[in-house]
Amino acid sequence: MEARVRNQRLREERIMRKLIVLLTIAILALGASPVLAITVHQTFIVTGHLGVTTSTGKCTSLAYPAMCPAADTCVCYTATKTSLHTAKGGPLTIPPGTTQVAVSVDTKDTTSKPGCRPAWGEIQYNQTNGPSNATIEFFASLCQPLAPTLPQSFSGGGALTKGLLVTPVGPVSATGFGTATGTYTGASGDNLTLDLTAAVFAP
Amino acid sequence: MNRFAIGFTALLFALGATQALAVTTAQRYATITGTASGPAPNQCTQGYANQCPTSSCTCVQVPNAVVGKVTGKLSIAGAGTANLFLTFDNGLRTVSSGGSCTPFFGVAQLTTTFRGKPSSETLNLNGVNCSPLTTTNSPVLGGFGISKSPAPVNGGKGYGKVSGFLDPSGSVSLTLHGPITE
Repeated sequence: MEARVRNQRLREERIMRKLIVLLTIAILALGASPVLAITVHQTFIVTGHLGVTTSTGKCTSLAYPAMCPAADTCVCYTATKTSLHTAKGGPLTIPPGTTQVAVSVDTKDTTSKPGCRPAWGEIQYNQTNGPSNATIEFFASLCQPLAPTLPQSFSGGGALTKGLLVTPVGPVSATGFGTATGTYTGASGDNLTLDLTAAVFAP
Repeated sequence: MNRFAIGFTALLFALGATQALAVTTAQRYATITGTASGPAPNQCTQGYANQCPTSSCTCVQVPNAVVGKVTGKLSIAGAGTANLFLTFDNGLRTVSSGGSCTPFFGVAQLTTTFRGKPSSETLNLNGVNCSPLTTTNSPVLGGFGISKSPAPVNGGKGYGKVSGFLDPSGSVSLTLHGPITE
C-alpha cells in the first residue's frame, strides 16, 4: 500500500517536471517572438577594391545604379575582392558569400570643379551554399579629397531594401535604412570601404 | 636719398600687392539654420536644384535662413542670410519597412558680410535626407560646391561635406566644411 502511494507520488512528480519543462519552453518560445520584432542598430561594412569600368556609361547590372540619368555623363565603378560584414556587437551576422558592388557616378552633375558628384550605388550579397542574402541601395555625394592626404569620400544614405540575415535564433527576413559613409582611394589601390549604419527591422 | 625713398615705397607697394593677391586654401566652415516650407509639387527652378532625374520631385524652400560661423574655425562666408532651395527626388528614395532616405539636389544663395565686406555666393548641394535613425532628427548627409555661376562676390571657391538635419517639422540645421580657397 505504502509502495503504491510512493509510486503514485513519483509519477505525479515526473508529470509535474515534464509540465514545468514544457511550460519553460513555451515561455521561451513566446518570449523569442517579440525579441525578433524589435529594431536593432547595426553597421554593415562593405570592403573591396573599386575601379571604374573601361566602358563608359552607367552601371546596368543592378537596378539602382541604372537610375543615373541617361541625359548626364555617368561612369560605372564596379568592385572586386568585395566582402560584406556586419559590425561586431550586434545580433546579425553575414556568413561567407559573394558580394557584388556597382556605383554609377554622374560626372556631369558635379557641384563644382573640383567638387562632389552624385553617386547611385547598390550592394548585392548572396550566401555561399545558404539562404542568406541582402540588397542595399544607397545614394551619396562622392567628394574629391578634402585634404591632399585624404581619399575621396562618400557621404549619403540608403536602405537594406530586402534581406535574409542570420541571427542567434536563425535566419530572419529584415529591412533597414541608414546613413552611408565611405572612402575611395582612387590613386592608391582603389580601396573601398562603405559603412551603412542602419536601423534594421525584423518582422 | 630721394631715390632710396621712392624705391622703398615702390617695394612696399609691390609687397602689398602680393599680399592682396595671395590666395590660401584652408578648411573652412559655415552653418545654415532656418525653417523650411512644406514640400511643394515638382522640382525647384533655381540653378542646380532645377533637376529631377525621375520626374517625381517636390521642392522645399528655406527662406531667409541664418548663415553663421563655427566657433574656433575659419569661415566660408562670414555671417548673413541664405535662401535655400532643395529638390527632393522621391522616385530615387531608398525604402525599408521602417524608414527611408530621399536624395536631394539644392542651392543655397548666400548674402553675407565677409571680412567686413558685402559678399554673395551660391552653393550647389547634393545628398540625402533620411528618416530619424539614432535621434529624433532626420539626418542630412551630402556634399556641396561653390558655384561658378553666378560668380561669387568677395567669396572663395571650393567644396566639401554637408551634415545636419531637416526635420518634418521644418527645422533645418546644416554644417558645411571643406577646403576653400580665398
